[in-house]
Amino acid sequence: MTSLALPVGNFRTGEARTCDTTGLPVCLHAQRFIKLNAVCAVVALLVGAIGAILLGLTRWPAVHLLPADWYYRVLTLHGINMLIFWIIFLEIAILYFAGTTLLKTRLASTKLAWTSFLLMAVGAVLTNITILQGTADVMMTSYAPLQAHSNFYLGMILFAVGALLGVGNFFACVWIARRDKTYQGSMPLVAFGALAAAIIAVVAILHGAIALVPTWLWSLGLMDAPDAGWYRLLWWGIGHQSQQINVCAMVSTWYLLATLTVGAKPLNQLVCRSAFVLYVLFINIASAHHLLVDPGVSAGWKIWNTSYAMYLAVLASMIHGFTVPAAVEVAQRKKGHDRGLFGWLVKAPWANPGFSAFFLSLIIFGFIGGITGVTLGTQQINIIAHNTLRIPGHFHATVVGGTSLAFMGLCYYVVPLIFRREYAARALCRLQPYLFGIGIVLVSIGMSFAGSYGVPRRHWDVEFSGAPFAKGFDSGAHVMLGLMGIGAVLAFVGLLTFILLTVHAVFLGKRNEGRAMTAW
Amino acid sequence: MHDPQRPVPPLQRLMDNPWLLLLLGVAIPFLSYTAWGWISMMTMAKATLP
Amino acid sequence: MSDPKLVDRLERERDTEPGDHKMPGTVVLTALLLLCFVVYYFANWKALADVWHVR
Ligand code: HEM
Ligand SMILES: [Cu+2]
Repeated sequence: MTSLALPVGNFRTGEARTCDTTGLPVCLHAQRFIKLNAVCAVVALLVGAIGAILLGLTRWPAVHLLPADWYYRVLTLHGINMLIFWIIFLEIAILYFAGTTLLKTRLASTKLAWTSFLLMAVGAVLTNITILQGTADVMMTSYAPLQAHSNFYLGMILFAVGALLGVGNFFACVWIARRDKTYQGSMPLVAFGALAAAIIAVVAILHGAIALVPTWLWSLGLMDAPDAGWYRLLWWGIGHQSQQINVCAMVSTWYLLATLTVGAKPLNQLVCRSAFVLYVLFINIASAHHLLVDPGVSAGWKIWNTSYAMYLAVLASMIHGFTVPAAVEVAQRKKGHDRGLFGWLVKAPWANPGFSAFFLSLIIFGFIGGITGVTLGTQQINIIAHNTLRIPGHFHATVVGGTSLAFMGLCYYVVPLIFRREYAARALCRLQPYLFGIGIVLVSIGMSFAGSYGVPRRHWDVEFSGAPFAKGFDSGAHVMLGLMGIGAVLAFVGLLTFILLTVHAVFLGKRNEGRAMTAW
Repeated sequence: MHDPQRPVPPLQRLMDNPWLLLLLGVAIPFLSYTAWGWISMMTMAKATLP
Repeated sequence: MSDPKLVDRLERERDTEPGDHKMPGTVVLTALLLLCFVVYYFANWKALADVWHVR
């Protein structure tokens, strides 16, 4: 280690180092938990990826791989490992990073961090085992009165409590940082985005607890079944909110990667921060878009929560959607890439996987995820799209092409800077974001248009083989499902490439301690 | 460090208060989505058979 | 990675410099996004109108 001197901040001797590449302080305790959470995230991603290819090949009618029971089992496995475990493990890692390094603060509590990590890990393992035993084919939403084995709910509750403790540790870091005045004025923008994510996480996890604890007691035979409508109201309080944690974490990652890769800086502090505040205040009420066809809630409630105030959150996304590329443009032009309208973009570092993953994520999230999202969330239009493949078509552009791809880009920096190991097979690394990005765009478009033909989501056999009347979808729908299948294969290859490269780098990569990381 | 010549705008000073943001961020969705939704569900009249 | 180091850039992320607001390319990109949205949104209302007859 070159930097023996204690970095600025409130660190104790021997508990921090200065990063040789960025000059930022790194709390060594936080570093351990960033590593542990990131490793678990990638393991969950692998489990989810195996599920992804099996599902893609089942929903492609020409292949129709899995039998019906395994389709629903794998659908549950995929949804939970991807949406919950991969994303939340990585988000907790981001919170440890933002709460310590960016605020120049030591980790508030190592004990709390261990408790959080162990609860999350045990919960994830328990839930996965229960799913694979075939006693929890209820899909990630586990809508009561569908009932899973009690260990499924117990695992989810343990995971959620663990995550809440991790979030609590982040707030404790914020508190210490303010007490010790380790930053002046406003916290850095990326840390502010992480704060927004943490606040939304609190809302999410509280709803999760209210929904799942009674459901768990019911599965143990200690209570009556929860009301189906009530369960859906509460469950979407965590289901939707988790997506908004993703959005905040992803936007923060965009800002961070823009700085790391092209040296961009936020366009305007006030504007960027107000956009995060709009998320915190208004994005959560949009959960109501999941209940737009539910009979139990009033029209007034639906309309208020999915339009009016909710559009303030859409405004926030549009602000970030402008300021992030604008920051890149400004930085590039200052470097002399000033030709014409798009010279800056052409001359961008497209061979740096941190940049390509970030920019592809921005484009896919905005052009596909954003446009479909606002459309599907419109109450009247929702009625022609609800429960069709258009819905997974939308969120594979947001949480997969958007968040997951941005997180992959982040890993291309986290591994060299925090694990202090270099990626090998650099050419493959450079190619990987494109493989995954193009694949997932095909998946998303294929699903969306198949859904427009009326193909339902969560459906094992859209051919209805063996039905007394011939019923099925016309050839256009089949072309689209084929497109989705081909995209699934591509995206799966891209995902597997990422996982192998990352696992190799983490365990066998060349060490770079004592010097700056090899530039991409 | 920010330029002491330029005062921090008041709105930004409000945003610099994480605890206030936490409070509002939890209260707004709880009232607008959860509580109202719950009430709406409990007060919905039972459908009569056709 | 290009200099200056990230730590210095974060310190100065609030300062403004000349050329900080030259972004015509982004304006065009976002206008394109808005256009795509208008087309898709309109097509969806049209599709809805085709199946939901208002008398
Ligand atoms: C190689 C990449 C991926 C492919 C090919 C893929 C493909 C699929 C397919 C075919 C389905 C089934 C849709 C249905 O039958 O209704 C599905 C569902 C789903 N996927 Fe993915 N996916 C991928 C990555 C991801 C990632 C990274 C996430 C989250 C971060 C994710 C989240 C989900 C969710 C939440 C569902 C819905 C599960 C449910 O309906 O209960 N997927 N995916
Ligand atoms: Cu939602």
